[in-house]
Amino acid sequence: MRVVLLLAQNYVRMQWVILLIMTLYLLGISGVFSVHQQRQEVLFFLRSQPLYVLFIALMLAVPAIEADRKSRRLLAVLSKGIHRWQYLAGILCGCGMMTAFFSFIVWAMAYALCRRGGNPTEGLGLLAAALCASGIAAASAGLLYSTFLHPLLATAAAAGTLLVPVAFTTERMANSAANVFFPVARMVDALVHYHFGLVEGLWTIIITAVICAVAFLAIASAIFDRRDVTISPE
Amino acid sequence: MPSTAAALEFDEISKEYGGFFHTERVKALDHFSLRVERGEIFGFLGPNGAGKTTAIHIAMGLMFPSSGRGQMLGARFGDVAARRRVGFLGENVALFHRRAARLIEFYGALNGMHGTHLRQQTLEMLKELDLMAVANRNAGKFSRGMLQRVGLAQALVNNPDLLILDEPTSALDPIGRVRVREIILRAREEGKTIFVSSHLLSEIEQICDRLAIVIKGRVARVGTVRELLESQERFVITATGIDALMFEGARQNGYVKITVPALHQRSTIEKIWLAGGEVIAVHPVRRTLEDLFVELAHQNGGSRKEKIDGGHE
Repeated sequence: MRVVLLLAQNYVRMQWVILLIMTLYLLGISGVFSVHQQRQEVLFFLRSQPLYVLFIALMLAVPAIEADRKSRRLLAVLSKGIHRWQYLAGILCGCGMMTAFFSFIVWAMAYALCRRGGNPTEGLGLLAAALCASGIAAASAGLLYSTFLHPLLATAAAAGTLLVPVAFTTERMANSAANVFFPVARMVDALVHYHFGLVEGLWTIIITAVICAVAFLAIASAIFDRRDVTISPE
Repeated sequence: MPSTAAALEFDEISKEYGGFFHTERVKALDHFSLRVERGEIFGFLGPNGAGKTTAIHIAMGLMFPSSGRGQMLGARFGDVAARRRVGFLGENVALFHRRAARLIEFYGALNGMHGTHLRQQTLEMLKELDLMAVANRNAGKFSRGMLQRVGLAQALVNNPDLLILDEPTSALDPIGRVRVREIILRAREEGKTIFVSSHLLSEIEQICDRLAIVIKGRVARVGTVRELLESQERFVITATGIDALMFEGARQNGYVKITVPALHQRSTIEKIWLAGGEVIAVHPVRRTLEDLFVELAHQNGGSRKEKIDGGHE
């Protein structure tokens, strides 16, 4: 676990520019919305900004391996006494930390906006927790595909996998058994149709997102364990 | 064959690369076999594209062989526990952009080191490689030579039993090279094994106990430096009291040096005696490593990798 945390911490450190830009963006956009306190505007903030968090989570994970591989920094890491799954878990953990941070900012800003506008704040905490869990699931899907695909293809494949039910749903996503296995799609659906107050099924989203993340990480590790991670420069 | 496990052993390893859609397959290693004993400094030479880096990456578990197998410190290639006892410095070292001291600690921690021991080892490496003055500077802003030193420090921080160095002195200044040579020689004195790949032939010649020359994915020659460089086919006879012209020799510092084939060694010595001369010494002709390297590269038709479906390059 220590190795995973070390790698995660290192990963977050390497992403400081994204961390800074995203934080400034979220704070800035919250500032813009705080000027207007109409219900529809606050609702727009709550519906749109968390989607960026999901997108960023995916985009953080997808190029991570390729970046280390191309820069050859991967050699020094994987030549140490660590398992490859630990390296992947480190990246995922790092993405998770960043997603948790962004989710926290979204929650804090949403809470402040709702309070100022006199809108209900109940359920915002759980929504942020579900957003964080979904972000980690999205990152794990991106990581899985990036173990064997070019980052561009991996992004498309991960987005496709995560959002399959959304593509086939015209109205609200049905709470069917099959959809339970698509926590990110359900989260997107919940956000798009958010209307203050408690949202049903958030706990299910959190649990299935965690299960998905672990499953994707396990599959990614199994694939990455069998792949050449360097190409000889000769 | 020694009964103990070798420090590093490649057994009939082949490695093929595939191009996109496998249009052009390239054989980097071709039934490559090599055994590196414990406690020796082993030089690994070969022209560009000979497969040296591929062999090293396979040993480190960064790549998988297409066929064959090998072991490192008694465990199969890629074994995590074995890697903890290995120090590795790759070619064109690339490290994370962090303060040098933190970076060395980070890599040490990945090898399971922690606490006071890790801090002490890091400090020792910083001193050893003259990095104390820049310990708190971001390694991302270092020159190539400085980065190479940090790379060496991260390879040595875990006090490894086996040190695998791919071009360890390529970016270093002469003082840095001497320092690295000292570190390598000291490591051998401590019983460690050093496997070093380099294009600096004079350096290899100076420090290695044994060396292998790889051409086109195969070991073309392996042996001690002396075995490889001293030819048993031609000898140099150093004599005095004779006319150099009579023996087609060269006069040097008052002595006459005559180079003869092994077959003529005895008869030439007798001729010198008959002429009233005195034989001072008889030595096998010693080539330079560069001569041997170039000769082998020419004999084996160049250095490029072999295309499988396109014949020889």
